[in-house]
Amino acid sequence: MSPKEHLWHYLILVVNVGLGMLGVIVFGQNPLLRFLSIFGSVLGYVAWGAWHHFVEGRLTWLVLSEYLLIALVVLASASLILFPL
Amino acid sequence: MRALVQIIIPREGSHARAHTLSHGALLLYGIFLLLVQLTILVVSRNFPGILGFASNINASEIIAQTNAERAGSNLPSLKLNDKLTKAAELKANYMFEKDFWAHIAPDGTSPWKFILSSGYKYLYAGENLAKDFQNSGDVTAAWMASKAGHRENLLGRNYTDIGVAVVNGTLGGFQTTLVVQMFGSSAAPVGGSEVSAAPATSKVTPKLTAKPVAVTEEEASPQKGVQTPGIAVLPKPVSVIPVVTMSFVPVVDVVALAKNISFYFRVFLLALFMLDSFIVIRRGTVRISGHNGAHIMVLLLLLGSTWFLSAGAIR
Repeated sequence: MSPKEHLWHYLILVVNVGLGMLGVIVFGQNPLLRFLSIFGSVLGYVAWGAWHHFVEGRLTWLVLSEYLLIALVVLASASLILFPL
Repeated sequence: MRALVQIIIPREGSHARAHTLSHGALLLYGIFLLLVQLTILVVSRNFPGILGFASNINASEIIAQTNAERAGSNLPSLKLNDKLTKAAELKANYMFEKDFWAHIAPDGTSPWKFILSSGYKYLYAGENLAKDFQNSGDVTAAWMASKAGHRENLLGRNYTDIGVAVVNGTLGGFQTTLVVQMFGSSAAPVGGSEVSAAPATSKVTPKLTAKPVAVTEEEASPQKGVQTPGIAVLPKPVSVIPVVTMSFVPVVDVVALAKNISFYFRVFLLALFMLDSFIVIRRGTVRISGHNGAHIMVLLLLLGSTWFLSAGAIR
């Protein structure tokens, strides 16, 4: 993959993460919508990982599970802040 | 020491990540965080005196801070009025009871109904709302920084009286602290008895029992025949959060505990991925795995969001 393609791929990920953060700010009054914003962004991150590694020809179950496990950690961490009780 | 380094840093010549970033470790982190949440839930439900929702918001402090802001603008201090305090408590309880957070209730009940039903006949009145804050200073600072009318209420020249309620309860299924600040002025001495001493913190239990007295339109006209009611001032999103006082103070504040665990855990994970990136680049290791850059980005999303997640809200 060329550096230019890499750049585009990462730009998409930055936009995905940015949208997630925007959702957290916009839905400031609603913990459920805040969580859904983060959930959507994390889902996008996993999809991005699968797509990016597929394009690179390096997509394996081990790689995909790494993205899924980090998604689990991020969502568990977000849930802990948003729904402590 | 060497054993610890081997856990954190990938082994020389190996293509695998360090033990702390292995799949097994990541799974453990996820399970650990879920278990922490489960423990908090179980302990807080069964032992609320140990682990529960707590905030350091105090009605007296908010009133003192409001008057300090007014003094800074060469404005006279507001006097604590027990009727306005009662109105603020009624409004806070009504919001918990009807599960809404706004100046105007979904059933159309305005803040002025609570003021009038408490017996305070206003010429001018205003309301500020806040929720999810952890201390009084942050509430006052947020109102002062607001461009939606909260600051105008705090520094209103037409007001002479104030009442604040701080109430804990469950709103939208989540525990929170509501702060309601009511301002008012009356032409004749028909307002509540003015208290010059430090305002007592209102004790309002989360369970709502008091219902606002229904006020007819006719009754709602303050001081009929004396003076036309003045302007009722509401911030653009018109709502003041009542100060909620908890009936008990838990040993550990669950919100702060959860936020701290989550925050330090993310910082720890971010540090590990950054260290791994540094070492991989330095050694020129070729590895078939997920991209550290992507992982760091999604962790930063959560870390950055914490700033907004921890901030309270005003109306």
